[in-house]
Amino acid sequence: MEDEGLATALIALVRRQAEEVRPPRALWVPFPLGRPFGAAGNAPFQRRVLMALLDLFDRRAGPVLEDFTEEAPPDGENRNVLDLLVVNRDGALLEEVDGLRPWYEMSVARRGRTTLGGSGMDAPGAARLLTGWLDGDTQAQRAGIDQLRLASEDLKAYYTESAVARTGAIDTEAVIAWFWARTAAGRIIRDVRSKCLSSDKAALRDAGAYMFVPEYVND
Amino acid sequence: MVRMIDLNPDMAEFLTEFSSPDIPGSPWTEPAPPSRRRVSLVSSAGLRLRGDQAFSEGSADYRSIPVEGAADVVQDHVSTSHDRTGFQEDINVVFPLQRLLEVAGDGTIGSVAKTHYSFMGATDPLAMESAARHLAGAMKAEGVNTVILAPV
Repeated sequence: MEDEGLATALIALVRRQAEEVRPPRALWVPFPLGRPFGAAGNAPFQRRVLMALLDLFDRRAGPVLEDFTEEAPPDGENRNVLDLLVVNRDGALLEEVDGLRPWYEMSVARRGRTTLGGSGMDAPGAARLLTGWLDGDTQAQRAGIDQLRLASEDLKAYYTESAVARTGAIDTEAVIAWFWARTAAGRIIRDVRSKCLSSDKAALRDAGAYMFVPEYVND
Repeated sequence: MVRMIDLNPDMAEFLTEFSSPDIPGSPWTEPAPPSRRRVSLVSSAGLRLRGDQAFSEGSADYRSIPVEGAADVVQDHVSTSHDRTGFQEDINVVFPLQRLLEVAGDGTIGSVAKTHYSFMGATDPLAMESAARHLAGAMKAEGVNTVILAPV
């Protein structure tokens, strides 16, 4: 883009990559992957990151790589709400999904949006696809990797959005741990990964390696 | 404190060992004065409007996100390594369009483009060159001269 006559400035989450590629203007930030502007629901903090990035356009020559050293504030410490959500790792997925619906709807009303829907299905639809695929259902077997992956992400979104129904000031790490350790959805998605990894199709094995369960989740 | 949403050791090793593509040259475009900067956002989070075609693994094309549609985007990124809870709570932590509109409102920049964009991360950057050059043409046609690049 710079080569096409557009002045660019880049957020760099991995400093070493910016050192190697040497983009014209880059700002390294000390934030987790997935949060290039640092803190959700914190407009002043996001604005400080943006202003630091825009400042790079005032440098007279490049490449420029500067550091934004202010750590992002934590989301919150509240985790009590997780105990109010009725989940059962060993239970039926569709029942669990149905039970969470009031929380999900409360969450959508509070935030005015949902990130669920990438698969084109609602949460019960995503749940049915994944369980059907695991059970060998003929129609579900026709699902491609993308459809399985997006259904998995939609199911995760339904749960993690439900967990922040009342407030976004919640312990994010606790939400992630809750999903993988305590919910039937977390168990089902792990089962999808296992089935992919044992497939005789290389594409499914590759998908199982990194498209469903984060590396930090232990069996 | 090491948090789960931070880089875990395996991913940190992968990212630090990852060999970035060799991109020849050091292009440099002189930025417009602040009051004349028309700014567009480009994310690699695999964002798209809800009704648009989904990104697949290795997609090298991009999706357009007009300002008025930005409140209803979904994320297709292929990797599970990055935390999505921040994006779920507040899209601006990934795609800071509201912040950009604010700094245009106070005169820090000239204006905000009507259209913003997303690619799918984890795609070979060299495979994106054709689409990126096409996108640059579309931006210039809209009067954009300044681009914020935000990976995820």
